[in-house]
Amino acid sequence: MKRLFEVALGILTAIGGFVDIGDLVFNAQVGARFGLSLGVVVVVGVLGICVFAEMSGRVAACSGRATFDLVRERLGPRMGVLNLFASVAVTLMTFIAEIGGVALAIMLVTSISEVLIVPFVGLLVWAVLWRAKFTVMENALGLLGLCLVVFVVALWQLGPDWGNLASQAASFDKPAKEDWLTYGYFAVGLFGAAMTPYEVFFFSSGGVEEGWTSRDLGVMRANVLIGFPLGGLLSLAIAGSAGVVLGPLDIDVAALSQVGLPVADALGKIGVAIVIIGFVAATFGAACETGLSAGYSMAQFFGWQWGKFVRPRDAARFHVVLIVATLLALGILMTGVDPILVTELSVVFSAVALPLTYFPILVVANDRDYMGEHANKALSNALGTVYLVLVVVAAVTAIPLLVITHMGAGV
Amino acid sequence: MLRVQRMRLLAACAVFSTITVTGCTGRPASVASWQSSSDRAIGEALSGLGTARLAIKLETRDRAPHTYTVVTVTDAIESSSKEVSTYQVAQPPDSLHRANKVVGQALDDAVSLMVDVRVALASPGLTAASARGLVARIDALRKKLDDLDSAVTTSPGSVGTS
Repeated sequence: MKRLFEVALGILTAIGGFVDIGDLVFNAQVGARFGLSLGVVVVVGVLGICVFAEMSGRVAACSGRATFDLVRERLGPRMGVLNLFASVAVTLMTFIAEIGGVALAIMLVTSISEVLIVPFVGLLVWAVLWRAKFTVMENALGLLGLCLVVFVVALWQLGPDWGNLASQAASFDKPAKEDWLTYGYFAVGLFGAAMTPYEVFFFSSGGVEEGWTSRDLGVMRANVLIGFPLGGLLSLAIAGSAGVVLGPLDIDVAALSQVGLPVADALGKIGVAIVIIGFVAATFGAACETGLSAGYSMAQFFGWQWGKFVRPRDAARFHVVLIVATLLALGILMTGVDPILVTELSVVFSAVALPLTYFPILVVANDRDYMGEHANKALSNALGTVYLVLVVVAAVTAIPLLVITHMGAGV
Repeated sequence: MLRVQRMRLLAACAVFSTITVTGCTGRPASVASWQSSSDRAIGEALSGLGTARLAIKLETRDRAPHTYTVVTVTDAIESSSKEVSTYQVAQPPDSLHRANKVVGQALDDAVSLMVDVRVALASPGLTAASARGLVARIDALRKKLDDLDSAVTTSPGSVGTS
């Protein structure tokens, strides 16, 4: 019974924790402009994150060490530095976007400028990272993030033409008024949003925090293979409801407030209340995850003591990284930079950093010295190789598409 | 070896010149570039007006908290204003000054109308009659912007001539 509860809880938190500010904004933008015609990219991205999260979770469970911990040891300092630079840069950018996202979500109910809310959010995020227990943080925020299931209910309540939505999803074709390069830009962005590198680092390091062993592989796989796809379903519901409500009005999503409009239309004030709780929980949870991921990456690379399973005084340098990251995020957000702009950039740069993040995971997961009998089998390697090709394509095309399409505004 | 170095130097000069020339302000845009930026600005205005229309609908049907609808329209005004100001500081092609003025005026009208919606929502609150009036104005302006967008895309020279 306890085991079953653990599995259920893990799955629920994986669903609630899958969607972050990047997924919220990008899926709503895509839904409003392209309907569900890019739905297949979400499916491909979710499968990709499942493949690599399973690998990194397996590494954590079998070796008792997080993936990043092994990258430098296995691939040497040069590859380790590249991996560190790419992942920390993108994770910090995502951290900034998530803190900004929390402030934007709170602004929806207070109408106080997000610049004034940001310092309090930063303080709260730091306090949680410093004091809260890992499992409490993960479970509470993951479960509250489940409020975003309201998008599924809203889509159902809106009563769309399901046949039309299905044909959009199957067509893989752009609407007549859009161009192929913009379509490509959003495809790469959605892929990057689904496969954000911090998710894998957090998952792997979280496994070490929770003391996984090879006996926990079943629970870990259930979390990944059920939780993430159901999280992906939330992404599709966000895009679907935006397509039904915002698309016909030519609304191009540029603010978090617009993301919640379909829920208001379908479910009224109760729906709005639930969706705002979901926004706050999802972005706050992701802020904690990205903050920790930045600390994990640095500490694991330099061989410092890390994690929330030890007292802060025993992992002082790890906690200093968390403080510096939080101050950096606050400093940037207090300049008045648009958090949605930071979000869009973080999603695109995630796509750029993907090969540097995922290639080392594939190498370490194949190393029998660490993995023993649990090293990658043929299926994992085949999927991993296919996804490496995809992430290289996404990485190479991301910045040119960003420039040519004026960040998706059109050629 | 010397030949390779010369080629590299030439390539660097070409890149530098291109960046310098294209980075200069005040140079008239090409017609295609003007069409593209007009299309983007009109799209942003249409998006803002669509958001304002939806906010009015939600407010009158009591489907969303008052603060939420006000913040939504304020966000739409901010996004549209940024795009409109970027558009208006750019130098149009010599042959399209009149067209540029017409598009700029329509964009100004759109932002003003969004501000009217925000003011009506935030301060006195919407009555059924004021909501109907605003929706009618939004629909008329959206139609005008749609037509303008088609004209900008298909025959930019004809914009502002009739």
